[in-house]
Formats: sequence, C-alpha cells, structure tokens
Amino acid sequence: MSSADPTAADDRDNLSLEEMDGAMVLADGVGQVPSGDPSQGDEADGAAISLPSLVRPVSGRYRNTTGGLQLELRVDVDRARPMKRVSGDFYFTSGSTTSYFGSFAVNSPSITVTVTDVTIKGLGSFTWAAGAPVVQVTIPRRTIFQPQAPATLRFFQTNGSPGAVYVCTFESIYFRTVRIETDRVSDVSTPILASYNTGSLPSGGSARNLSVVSAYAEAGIQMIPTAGSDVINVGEAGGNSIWSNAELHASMQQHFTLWKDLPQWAVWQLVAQNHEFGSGLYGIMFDQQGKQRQGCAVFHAGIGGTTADKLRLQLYTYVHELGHCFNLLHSWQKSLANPPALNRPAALSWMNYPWYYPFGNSSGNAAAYWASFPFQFDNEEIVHLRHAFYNNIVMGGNNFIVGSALGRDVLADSIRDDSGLTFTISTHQRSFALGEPVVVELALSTYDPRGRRVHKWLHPNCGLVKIVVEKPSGEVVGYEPVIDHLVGENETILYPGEQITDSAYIGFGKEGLTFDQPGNYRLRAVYAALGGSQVLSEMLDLRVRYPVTAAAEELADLFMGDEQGTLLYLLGSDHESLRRGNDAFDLVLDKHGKSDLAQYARLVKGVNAGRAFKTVDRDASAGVTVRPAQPEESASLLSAVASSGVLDRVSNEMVLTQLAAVQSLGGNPEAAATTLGKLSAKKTRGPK
Amino acid sequence: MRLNVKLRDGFLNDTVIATVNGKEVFQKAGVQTDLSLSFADGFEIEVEDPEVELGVAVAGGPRATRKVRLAETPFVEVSKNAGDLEIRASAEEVPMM
Repeated sequence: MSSADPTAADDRDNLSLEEMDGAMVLADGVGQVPSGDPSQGDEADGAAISLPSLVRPVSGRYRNTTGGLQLELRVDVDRARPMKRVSGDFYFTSGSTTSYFGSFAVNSPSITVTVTDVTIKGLGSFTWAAGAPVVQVTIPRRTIFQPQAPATLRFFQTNGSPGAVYVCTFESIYFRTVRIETDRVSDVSTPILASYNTGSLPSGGSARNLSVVSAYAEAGIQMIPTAGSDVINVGEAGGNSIWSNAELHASMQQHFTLWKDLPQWAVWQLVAQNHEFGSGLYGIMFDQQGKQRQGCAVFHAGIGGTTADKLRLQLYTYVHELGHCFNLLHSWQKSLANPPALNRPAALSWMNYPWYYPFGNSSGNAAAYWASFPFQFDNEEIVHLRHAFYNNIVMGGNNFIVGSALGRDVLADSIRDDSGLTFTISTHQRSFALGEPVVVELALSTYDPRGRRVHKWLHPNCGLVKIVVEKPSGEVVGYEPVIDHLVGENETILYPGEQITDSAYIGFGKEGLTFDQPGNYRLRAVYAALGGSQVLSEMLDLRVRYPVTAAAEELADLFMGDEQGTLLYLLGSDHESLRRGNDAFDLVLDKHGKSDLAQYARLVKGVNAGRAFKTVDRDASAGVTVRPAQPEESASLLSAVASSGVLDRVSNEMVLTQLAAVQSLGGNPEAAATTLGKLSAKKTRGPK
Repeated sequence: MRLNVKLRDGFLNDTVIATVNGKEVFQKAGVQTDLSLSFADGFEIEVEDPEVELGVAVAGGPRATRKVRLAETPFVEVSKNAGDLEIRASAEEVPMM
C-alpha cells in the first residue's frame, strides 16, 4: 500500500504467495450469489445466502491498523436486511492526530459462498483516483462456537494485478457507532420517550418495543447514550421560554459535552417544549451553520403525552430528526439532494411525513400510512446509513443535503416510469480532448398517442433538468449551472413524432470544471415533468482522452481554467475579471488556430464581438461604458466556426443564427439570407 | 377568523407576494425552503369574510389563486413544484418535522 493510494501494493504489506494461496480458498461458481435487489424483501434476502444455522454470519464492521494507516471495513451480505455490498474508510494517524483519507464502496459485487469462505468482489467507487479499484473481501466461515473470523481485503488493478492487502479483525455487528447525548429542558411537562410498543396500534410491521437506540440498531447503527445528559434551564430560551434556532445552537455548544467543531460520530438531541414556529413544529435539525448536522431538537408541545398515539409520534419524531443529522432528506425531496436521487413520496420510512402519504383509507392518508409503516428506514436510506462515504454522513461532515443520497439511487434506473415521456441525453462525439468543451443535447419526446402536457425548459440553467455525472474516480456530482435562471410558464402539448430539444454546455458550473481529469465518465439527465414525475435519460458514456502530444497538453492547459470555463458558459465577456481567460483564448488562436479546439475560442470571441458590451463605470458620464458591437469581426469568427463542422448540431444552428444576425447588423442582408438558408436546409436535413 | 399560510417546498431565494381578495398582505424577498423542515416562511392574518380568495405569486415566476373557506380549512400550504405553485387548504395545521 502507499499513503498516496491505499489500494496500491508495496512490498512491505503484501502477503507472501504461500499466505495468499492459503487464504484464497475460492471455488469458482460454487454458491455464486448474484448481487440481487435488496428491495425484494426479506424472503429474497434470506434465500441469497443460506448459511447453515450453526455458522456465524459475516456482516459487520472490521478494522485494520497498520502503522499510521487505519481501515474501517463494512461487510453487508447477511444478517438483517443485507444490502449486498461492502464499503470502507481509510484514516491516517500521525502522532495523536487522525485524519480522514478517503472512502470506497462496492455497490454491485458478486458474492460467492463456499463451504469454507464468503467472498465478495466487485469494482469499487472511490473518493480518490484508486490505482487498484477492484475490491475483493474474503471471510472464512466460522461456527457459532468459534470466534468471528477476520476479513481479508484485497485490491486489484483492472488488469488483475494485485494491489494492497489488509487483514481486518472483526469489531462489531454494527456498521457505524455513534454516541448520542439527550438533554431535556426544564419546562418539558411530559416524560421523555423511553420506548414504544409497535403493536399498540395498527402497523405494517411486527410488534416490538422500539426506542431510539433499538430503531437505529435495526438499521445497523449502534447508538451509545453518553453519561452527559443534562437538564437545561428554560431561561436559555429567553424570557418567553420559546426556542429559536439560534438559541438551540448556542445551547448545544454549551451543553453537548462532546461538541467540537469537527466531524465526529456524536450527536445531540434536545427534548424541549416550545419552538417559535409553534406547536405544529414537532422537531427540527437546527444545526445548519459551521460544522453542520451535530444537533437536533424535538418539541413536546406537539408530541408530548403518554397515550399510544403520542408515544408513536414521539418515537417517529425522535428518530426522524436524528435521520437528518445522518444527512437523510425527507422521502419526497430526494431529488433535491446533491447529487439528486429519485423522490419516494410513498416510502414507508422514518423520513416521510405520514400526512403526506399519497395513499389513503377511510380514515385518511396518515392513518393509512401508520397502518402500513413497519417502523424502519427504506432500503436506499439503509444503504446511506451503512455505506455512505464518510463525509456524506458523519455529523459535522458535508453540509446538509450534500451527498445525502449516495445510495443505490444515483444513476440507477427507475423501477417504474409511467410518465409517457422519453428523455435523452447525447453528445455529438463519444470522446473529447482534455479541456474540450462538452456540450450535451437534450431531447424530450412522448410515446403517449394522446399527447402529454410538458414544460419546455430543458436547459439545466432553468432548474427543471438535472444532470448527474459520475467521474472516473467514482465520485458522483450533480452539475450545477453558474447562473440559475428564474423561469415562467412555457408549456405545450407534446405528441408522438414531435421533439423538444436544447443543448447545454456543462463543462463548467458552480463547482468549477466538470471534466477535469482524463478517463471514462457516465452521465444521466433527469427531467422534472409537470405533475412531479422524474423522467430519467438512458446512461451516456463518454471519454476524456489523455493529451498525448505537447500541443494537446498545451491546449488542455489553455482551456482548463475557471475564467475560460466562465467565458464558455457565458459565450464571451469583456469583463476585466475574465481577462486571463480571454488572453488564453487569444493564445489558442495565435498558436493553435488550426486545431479543432480553436473553433470554441472563435465561438466565444465571435458571439461576444457581435453584441454591444456594457460595463458599469462610475467614472463615465452615464455611469456605463458601452463597447459597441463589432459585426464584421464577429461574422469573420463565426463563419469559420460554422464551416468547421466541429460543433454539435444544436450549437451549430445557434452559430448560424448568430451569424445571420451580425451579418444583417453589419449591413450585409444578402449574406444573412444565405446563412439563414443554410440553417433552414440543415434543419430540414438534420437528424430529429 | 384567522387564515394561516405556510410556504413549504420548492422555494429558492424567491420573492413571494400574497394577496387576500386582491389586497396585498405579504411580500418577502429571499424566501428559501429549509429542507430539514420543508418550510420557507409563513404568515397569519385576521379576515372577516367566511370565504376569501388567496393569491400567491413568485416574482417573475408562477402564480396561483384559490378560494379558502375559513370555517372549514383555515390552514393553507403553498408549495412550488416543477415551476408551478400548488395551494392546499386543510382543516388542521399540517405538522412539520
């Protein structure tokens, strides 16, 4: 292994061949278990690995500490609700400090069970560019009379060459352990929840006594109450005895004995009486400043009491608010996560609102929800709780909603799609030079012969289409446009045979460059339809090539800057803050004017030259300096772009439209008419 | 009678204007949904008529109106969803958590 890449092999930590042979007792094909869909339920899960009853399950948390490197490995293939995956986190310890290095997860492994071993193998997703991204975990099977066996984690390169090996000792049946401190405010007049018997009222699950601790234990999360529980004087809420979020945060910093402005597996829950939002607020994850998600509060003004329905509501609220601290969103809001996932408004989950349940019975929607609710998280949330990358879940890690849905959902197919719509994403080529602008074409159509009412806002700028990108490292990001556009109504009835299209440059967004490394990318677009459906495109694979010549490398450097990305996004600007980007594009035209990439520099400069550019200038008499449009220069640049054949179809049509406009502006209506004629011909001949 | 209006899901740094029977009763810029609560903002107003027409508009965006019968459904939720405003009225306050 190496400190730069813990998946890479080095001599010090490799097992000998003899040791490896001894450890590798794997009969190909024997007991092969396909990585199934955990949503198929317990029966399917139980059938997946039918270990004899006297054999220990292997799932749980394992740990390896070698020198300064520490690995936490989570194996999740048996025990309750197995999600059929493995994941892990690496940490470095130096002196008395430990820092997080990175995380990995194998989401679709093959699982092989023999008489002697369980082996889980698959391509991992990593938070870093792993040199040996294939993950294999082998665990000897032990009887219940023997201690739990260690897990051997081996990394492999994609060509099969071995990488680092870690032998991890079994630590816990739980995948994570979190310390919880529960404080109470002095004016709370009803008891703090101890537990609720889920058989007290109709429900969708087995009857059992559940507390906060046991509810999370069922999800594979160990909650250890601290001894620091405290009674907080209601005076800290101010003279009105009503809590604001600011007062809650201040109280957390004062009374949470474990509080630090650091990511850590520790959470504070306050049981209070009243919040300034009124008794309709049952609970809140108020900690959305600094290192977020470390504290939440529940309010007994709305949920307090000792009747069965109140105890049920208390349990639900306590667990729900802590779910937000684990970075879980409401069930119907998963598409607002970053990156987005599919909304699940009908989920029977702690993270839903019973009163928002879309199915009702004679007693109403909430009653129908409670009658079906099995008192558990849904499968995607279980995946997040057990296998999310460290910073996406640890309290004090990423801000709320960032990385909150990195479960099976990301880039996954819809289970059901009755929207009647088809949404596609494409590029005019599958391979791009490093630094080359990536423009995607988006197209919406319908197969419903009755037609479908749709909005026409396909550009990601408008917020109604999301594009998710999986990078070569396995990192998944949602593309966020630099500028969000507020849009109004723009609807139509779409019929079969018709298509709405748009193209979007997605190479640069709020998070910087999207395609910032060579390798294979996967993209998927999501169209938010009227009525709430999320229409997924097929997956689009594209490759960003390594620069193999000095010229290609220089071009990549000249295109890969934030200023250049902004200029491509805006299609040019005179603004002084973007001068370095414009200088880079000038250099592209000077030194590499015949390259394909030079056409993008001409596009940016040509569109910008064709429009007057106003700059706010306090020294100018009118307060604004206006650089007039330069139609001749613009026409020269755009003509070259239009005839180059480098751009995608939709962008090229935009160029022809712009070209005709500047030709007309420059007093050359004949040329403009000729250009428009080309545009019309292209539209007639072009693919639909 | 008291009309209770809550702006819930989907608001993103919006300017929201609300009217009751055509008279502006609420205007606020920077309205943003807190995803941990599904709540952005709210207001309460005393009205005399048993039935009012509530109008809600997002500046530069969608608008919607709905008649509200205060004796039956005084609690109103407004959500912005896929570019539309949805107004729901109910007999009881819809809790938040």
